[in-house]
Amino acid sequence: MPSSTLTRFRALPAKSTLARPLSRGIPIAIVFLVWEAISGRVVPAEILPPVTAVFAAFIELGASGEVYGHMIHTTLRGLVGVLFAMLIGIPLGLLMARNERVYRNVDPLVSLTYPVPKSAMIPLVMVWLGTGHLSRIVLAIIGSLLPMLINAYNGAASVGKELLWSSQSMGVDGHEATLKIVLPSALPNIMTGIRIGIIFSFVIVISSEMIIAQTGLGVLVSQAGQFGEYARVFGTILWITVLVAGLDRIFLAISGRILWWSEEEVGSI
Amino acid sequence: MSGMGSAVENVTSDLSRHQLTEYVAFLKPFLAVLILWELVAQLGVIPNHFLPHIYEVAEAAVIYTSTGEIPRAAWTTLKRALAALAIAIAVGVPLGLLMGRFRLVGWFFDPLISIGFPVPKVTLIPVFLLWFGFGSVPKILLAASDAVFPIIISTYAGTKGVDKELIWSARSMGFSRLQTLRRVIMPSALPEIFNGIQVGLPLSFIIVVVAEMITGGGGLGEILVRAARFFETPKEFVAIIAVALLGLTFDRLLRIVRRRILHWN
Repeated sequence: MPSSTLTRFRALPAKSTLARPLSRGIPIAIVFLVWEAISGRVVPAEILPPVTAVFAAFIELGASGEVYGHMIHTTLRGLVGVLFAMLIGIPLGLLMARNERVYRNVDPLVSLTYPVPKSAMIPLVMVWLGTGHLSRIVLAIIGSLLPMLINAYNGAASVGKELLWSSQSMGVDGHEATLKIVLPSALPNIMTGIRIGIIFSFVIVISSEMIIAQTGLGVLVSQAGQFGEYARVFGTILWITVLVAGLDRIFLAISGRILWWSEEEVGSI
Repeated sequence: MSGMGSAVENVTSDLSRHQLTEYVAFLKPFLAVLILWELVAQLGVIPNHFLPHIYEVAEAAVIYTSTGEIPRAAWTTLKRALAALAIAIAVGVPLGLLMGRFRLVGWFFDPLISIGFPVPKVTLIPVFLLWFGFGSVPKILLAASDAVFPIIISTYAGTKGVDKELIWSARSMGFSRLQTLRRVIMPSALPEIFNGIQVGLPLSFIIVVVAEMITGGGGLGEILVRAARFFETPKEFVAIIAVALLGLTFDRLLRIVRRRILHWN
């Protein structure tokens, strides 16, 4: 299964000292200082706006309220797509692990389409479904479906035979075993799949918004670029990063709660 | 799949027979999808310019391949994506190794990478256009800037995970720091490095195609947007299939290279 490359990754190793945030802040501060120093001196400010201007644009976008409508649209598109992808991908992944016939018919499609860049579908989906919410939601589903499906499958397929045998001997079998034994054991993998899916979903939604859109954070970036307002471009990118990284943090917190009983952690890309 | 034949004299015919049935089983779902597609197209519920017949797509594939339009565009996209991946490897692997071996380097880059990684790199397209103009350079560099992150992270993790005793014994045997890095640490971290490259490869294709869609300048991404704009749906499908084949072929090639290099693993 191609997913092993995805699930094997762990976040950067973490130290747990109080000095850590400070120590980690220093390199970032150094980069910002160098950026600020060279902007307008070594590199023209039109080419690289100073950090202070970027943060000013970031705050201005928030204070004027301009960014929120776009952010809500992008967030809704991405998350609704993730929700549908979960509803399709997770049951199908579990079913593939539990049912040989389903596996034989779905696995070829999955293993051949998995390495294919899904963003190639953006123009076609917009021809089919227009440039509003619907096409983006479908794109978000296309972008996030396979990591969820593959991780759910991997989690369910790696459930120990002994566990299934002993539950069988206690009279838990079939769909009941899928729900009560396989689903909980696969949950850490399933959560990893959702986490990767969320990121993939937002990447494809924002890409499609940059190509053509009336609303959304992607179009906010490309408009600012067309008007040559580069501080605004960076400011919007900062908002996008806050959104994507923020959703990822929230999801990690939620899955930590759900998986409190598990020894496994949620993986990342 | 290997080692299926039991009787020695029958091994070859058994194997090929077995492989044949396996191929058929593998292709069946695709056949089902194609039949479903054609059925829907025949019913006429969906207008033809949204969903063409399969033979129309096949015809378009022949036409645009023989005119050279699709192969030329595919070649352009391919060159850009591979150049991006090469840059990402050339930067990411040494940086990850240094981060894992020298605490100061790790201290400096670790936080920068953890803020840089979640930035969706496609949003930087306007900035890269400003810095590097149109053409191939901004696309290659943007794709490299995306693909480099998983490569750095996995090389870093792989380098840190190398057995300390292995390093000590190499050092005590008189290996220099550089020799230890090249002959002991690199090989042990190689499986992890490959994981990073396997994640980076599709990323570089994705970014190149999206950048071509947004900024033009040739390549399959530009054809995808143009064909969609003029409702040339058969051509659109041909371009999608071309992107899919590129992504798939290089994923498989990378797996083969991996197996060759890591045969001892």
